[in-house]
Amino acid sequence: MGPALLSIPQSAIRNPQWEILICGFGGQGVLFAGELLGRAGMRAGMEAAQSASYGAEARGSACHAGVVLSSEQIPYPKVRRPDLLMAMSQAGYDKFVPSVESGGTVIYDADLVKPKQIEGIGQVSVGATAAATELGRRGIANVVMVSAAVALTGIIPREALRQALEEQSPSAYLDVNLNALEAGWKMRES
Amino acid sequence: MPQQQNNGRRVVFWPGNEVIPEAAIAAGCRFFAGYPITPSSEMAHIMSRRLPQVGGVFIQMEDEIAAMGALIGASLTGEKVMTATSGPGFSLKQENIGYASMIEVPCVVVNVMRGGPSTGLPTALGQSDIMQARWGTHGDRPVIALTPSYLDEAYMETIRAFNLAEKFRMPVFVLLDEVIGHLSEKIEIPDPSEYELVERPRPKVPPEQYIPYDSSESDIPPLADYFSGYRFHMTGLNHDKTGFPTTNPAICQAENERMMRKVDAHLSEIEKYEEYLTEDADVGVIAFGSTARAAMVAVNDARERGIKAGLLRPITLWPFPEEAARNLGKRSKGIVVPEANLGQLIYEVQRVAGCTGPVVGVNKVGGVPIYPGEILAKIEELA
Repeated sequence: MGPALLSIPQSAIRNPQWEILICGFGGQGVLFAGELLGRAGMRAGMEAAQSASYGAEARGSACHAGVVLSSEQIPYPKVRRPDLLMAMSQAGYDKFVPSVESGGTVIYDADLVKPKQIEGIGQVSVGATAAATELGRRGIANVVMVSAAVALTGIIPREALRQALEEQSPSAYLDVNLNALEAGWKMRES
Repeated sequence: MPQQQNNGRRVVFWPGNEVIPEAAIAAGCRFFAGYPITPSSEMAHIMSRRLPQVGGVFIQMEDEIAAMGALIGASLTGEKVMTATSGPGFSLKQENIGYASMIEVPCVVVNVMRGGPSTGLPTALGQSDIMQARWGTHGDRPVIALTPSYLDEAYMETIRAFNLAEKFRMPVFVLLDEVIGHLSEKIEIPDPSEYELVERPRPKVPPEQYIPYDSSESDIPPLADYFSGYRFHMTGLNHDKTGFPTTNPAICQAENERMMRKVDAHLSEIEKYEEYLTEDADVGVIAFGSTARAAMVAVNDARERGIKAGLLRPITLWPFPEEAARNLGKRSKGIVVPEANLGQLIYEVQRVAGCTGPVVGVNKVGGVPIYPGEILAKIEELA
């Protein structure tokens, strides 16, 4: 014990990292999606930090989760300028789209978001809610969304995402969640 | 599921409010009494499930005052004990915290800070209890408060909180803030072989020779476990070595000074801090908890703009790392103290830093974190 004198090399701080924001409304599993992404990043060998809006939120009200993934220690754990925004509600899209980093990507749910024309960012429509409804459970659109986003951006290997989902999913929902992962991953090809 | 391993360490993705209870159990904590309060509630939830699994006891009490009382009683039986709360609950606990200090009972009190005063901002960030931790209960007593900024650090500092509480027979505070409590990070859980666990000093003499506050050999008298055959009296009144009340001025003076020496004479063992790029700093930043992480980014951004900034991050807020702050003050043109309150730690910095230049705050109480850019702006003003 006693005073610690540590120094962290400059290179460890100025490292490329992913800032990811997931927004939607209470009940969609936005926080589950954030945790899944953080955990998957960790299983892929990255440093991961996940934070969430934490308020008097109830089903139907706005909420969001932030994830920072990096190959080095993460000094500031909150998302400031997302490189990737996953929008599962119009309100969330409208609120957070202006903060997306130039050159960043927005992935939005085709049934829930009407996108705007914005210069300098890529926007991809994903039928997450539709795919989840087809699988018989609307509530797994969050997993479809994360899986599609991971597949489209290549941030995390598929196996790490699957492993994270197996760890995090309640056992009763594991099969249906794995189906959602499959459905989301296929969207890369569509 | 098989857990990921790294060098024999378990790798997990936990929020701060899970890290602390798990570290407490690893430290030997077997009793938790509490009254759930945001943003600390998850700790009570987790302890209610985890403690019975390891042979421990969880009690939800009728309020925070009673929870602190239960903690003291359980500690006197020889158990390692913890409670978790937030600002309003910390206020309610203060009288019993004073009592625990006076009768010298080891206990760990976690405070996940939120906005205030009163019930304030229950679900939002605050760093509002810096001075409450130091001065919240009446009278003079030693104080140890730990403020981790990272979750792996929170794990080890929680274990250290138990060790310090046991070693010095006193309450020890772990001050988190909402951002750290609800942040999930990758953590490698240290193997128990990587750290030591400390037990309180216990009597070596038989019950009939036991004098509860006998400090002839050490400023930290041995503490017998209740129900182990040792019969002794404890009171919040000033007492002599027998544990019974006294108003003898010389004894009261000597005993109060002895209690203060438990921390004052062991600063090198207790004090902990991290310095980042301070050696050549023209502008110093002193920040703790989640704010220190924003400050680190601000220091890097300042360096990129050619300003030599450096960060002193107290890990023990109390005792405050005075010498490190003084050294930083001597070297720099000014010091920035960002904190999620309207200026608390800044008073301590102004007192000790001896800075010839200005000491200025960056202060927010709206429940949102201080951003790196806001700290950077102040650094640029002072440069």
